[in-house]
Amino acid sequence: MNRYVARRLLLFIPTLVVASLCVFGVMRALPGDITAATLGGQGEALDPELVAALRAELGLDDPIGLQYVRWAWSMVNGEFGGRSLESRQPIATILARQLPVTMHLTLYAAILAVCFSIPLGMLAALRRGRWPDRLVQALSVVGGALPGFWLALLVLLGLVYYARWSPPLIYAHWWQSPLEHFQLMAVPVLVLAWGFSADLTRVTRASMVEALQREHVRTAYAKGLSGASVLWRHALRTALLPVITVAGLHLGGLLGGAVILEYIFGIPGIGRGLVEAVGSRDYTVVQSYATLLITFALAVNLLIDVLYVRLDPRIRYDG
Amino acid sequence: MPLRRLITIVGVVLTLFVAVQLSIPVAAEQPRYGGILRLGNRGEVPVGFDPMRTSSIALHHVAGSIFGPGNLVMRCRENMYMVCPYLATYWTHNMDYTQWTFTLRRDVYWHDGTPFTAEDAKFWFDLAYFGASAKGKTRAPAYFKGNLGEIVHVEALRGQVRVTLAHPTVRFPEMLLDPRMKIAHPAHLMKPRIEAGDVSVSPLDIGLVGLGPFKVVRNDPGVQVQVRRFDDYWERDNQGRRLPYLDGIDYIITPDPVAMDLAIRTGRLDGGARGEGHYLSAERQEVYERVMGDDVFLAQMGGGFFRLAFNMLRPGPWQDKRVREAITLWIDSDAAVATAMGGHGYVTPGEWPGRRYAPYPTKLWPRFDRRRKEADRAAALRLMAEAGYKDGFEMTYLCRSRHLVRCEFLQAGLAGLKIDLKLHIVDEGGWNRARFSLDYDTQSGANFSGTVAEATERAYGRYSRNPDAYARHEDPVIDVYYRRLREAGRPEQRRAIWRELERYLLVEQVYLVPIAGSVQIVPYRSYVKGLVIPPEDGHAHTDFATVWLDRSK
Repeated sequence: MNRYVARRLLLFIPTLVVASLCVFGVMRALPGDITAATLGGQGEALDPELVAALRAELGLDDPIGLQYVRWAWSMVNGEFGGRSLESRQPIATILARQLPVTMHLTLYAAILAVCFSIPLGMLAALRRGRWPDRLVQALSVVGGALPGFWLALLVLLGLVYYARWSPPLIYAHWWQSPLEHFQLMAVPVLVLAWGFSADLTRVTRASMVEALQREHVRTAYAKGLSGASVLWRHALRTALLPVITVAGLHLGGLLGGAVILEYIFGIPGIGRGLVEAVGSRDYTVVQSYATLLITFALAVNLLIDVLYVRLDPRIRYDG
Repeated sequence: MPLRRLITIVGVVLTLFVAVQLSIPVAAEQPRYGGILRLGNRGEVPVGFDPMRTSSIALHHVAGSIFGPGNLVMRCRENMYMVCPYLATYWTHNMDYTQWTFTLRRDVYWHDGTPFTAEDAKFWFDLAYFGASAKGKTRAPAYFKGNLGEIVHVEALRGQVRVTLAHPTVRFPEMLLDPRMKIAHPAHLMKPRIEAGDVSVSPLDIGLVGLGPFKVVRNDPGVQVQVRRFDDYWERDNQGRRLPYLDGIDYIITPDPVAMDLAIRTGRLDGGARGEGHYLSAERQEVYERVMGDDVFLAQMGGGFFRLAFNMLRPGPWQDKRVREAITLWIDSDAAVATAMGGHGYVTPGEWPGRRYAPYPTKLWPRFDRRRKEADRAAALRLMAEAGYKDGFEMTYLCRSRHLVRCEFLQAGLAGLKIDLKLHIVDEGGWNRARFSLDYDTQSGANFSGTVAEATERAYGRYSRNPDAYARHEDPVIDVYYRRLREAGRPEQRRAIWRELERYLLVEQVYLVPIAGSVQIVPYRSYVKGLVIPPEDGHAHTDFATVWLDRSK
């Protein structure tokens, strides 16, 4: 197992190099650059000489290979991509500010989704074809179908219309102001969690239905084990494998959903930061963030593979 | 006393009493000190708060309070088209208008307590116009360099700064009126950094030390900027009271306009953000009026233009003047306001800077007379047939994605002339590249923020000299008009030349079709008093020095 993990970790390096080249290339292929986006802030008339001068100042007229090497080196030497071309702030500082915000948002949503979707999926499987099953299925279909941004705006409008209340506009960490943190995060977390839990609930239900019909579960019942014990220790453990796979795959979607919700609620996370950086063609920020997200995706995949082994001892990666 | 005499006396006394009562002016509302104003801001403040780098309203909405409403001069608060002194008390010029000397105020301080000096003014002019170089690195000049005329050199004298220009520049103080030209660059803090090689140093890097009525006490990037009253600020109101009235302003980053609207309704914000997308549409305005009634004040400002400009340097049917005339006569500007401008706009044939200062009837040319629309359209069809394009042709239009509705309006409208308008839809990055090129047939063009008519040469002049011009042409006649404008001193003379130029551009040659100007609406809670709302240009008067809060009502 350790050898497998080490091998996978080593594979991260070429994957990240190729991915970073792709991201670097795509950003350069996009029309326009940071200079025109900055100088033409409100669409004012631009002087091409000024654009050229600013490009030179930012090092954008250096050979493209040199620009890549300079940025790649800054990714590994501890500078995490150097400085933002737009704000001139160190990207590590920007990330340190934005990452915890998004981590909180997605972590709350993921925990909430898992805490609700697995019991609900189990309930639906146990009461298959009856009203609890139908209710859970309806909730998960609606949750999966409704766009998060639309739902969020609807909830906001409802709160203002019925309660004359809107969430705070200024983000506070939970250690700074727990109440304001809760007030601001509650709606986006619920919206994100509902969307995320829709698939998890359906997969849990389907896996549980299948697991409950398996021989080892029937054997457990025949041996006289209690219903709860059979359910939690035997059926659920088998059913969790596809749930984990789906959860891992959807974590990226959770981050994607966070982007638009961060925008609506004015939450200063990496999603909003990334969108703004793309808009202003802040190459170094986009490249560094994209590389970080790719690393995150690789790490989640590795973690899921490791979890498989923990949940199902029959799975072996070595030899 | 006879009764008649008594009645006369009583009558006279009563008349005098009423007259005296009527002559006593109603006491104006006295501004009150104190309070924190909470305003939305469209996005995170960009480019290290540097007004030399960008005209983004996300910066300038905040920057007015920190850096002040002007530079050496400012737009007068009572009339934004007039020049008022700001950091200079008065100015003089030599005989041929090539040298301007500004005498500076002596009571102006940077937020760190350092006096503002002629060295600061010189440093600012030099940085904006020439950029800077040190240790092999070069800083680009300010993006508004082109609006400063042709500066040869700047001298710091005792309490004065002298600017020498290459050509006679009669309107130099007016050219400095652009509220985007803010002084945010203290020489005592920035010069050493630049000389040490940090040529890209920004106001944020040196702690946001400004000259404006408020100083920054907190900047949470992406969340909020808090500014509080600067006690050493020099400006007074007309009663000699110190400005600003407010204790401070919290600018809260609200990227989503709907969330901003809801926050204003629930009282979390006192006023909205400025900027496209955040300005109210007709639908959003209707909700404000219905739900908030008198609790909200909707400030209106003229904004950018919607136009169709031809690329005359590219072959195509539009080379035929009859085709361009037909398009002009066909486009329905009133419909554009209603459908493509969100209901907020106005139609006008001209685009004179300060057009509201010198209004003139929009019936100057036939197509702006609504009653003649049917006749105009019949004439347009006839002109197309005469030009040999009865069955239409294909034409491209460079379309900014943020103005897609306008582009689709044009596309649908010109289909009536059987013109197949192909939209080249580009995001902001793409537009910023494509706008210099000759790869399309028509476009709307950039916004123009110049304050004097001759500066519009960048928008209407020849392409070879003005690569961001709206219409691409190489017409030398335009040069003559601009030379005459530069040489004209009297306002009425200048206005007459401008009208001639407009007629030549828009009627005689039809290089471009002005369709409509947009009206930008910003909501404020009605207890926000003393706002100076410019008739146009949302970048103006963002210092909020005269604003006060009347929460008693």
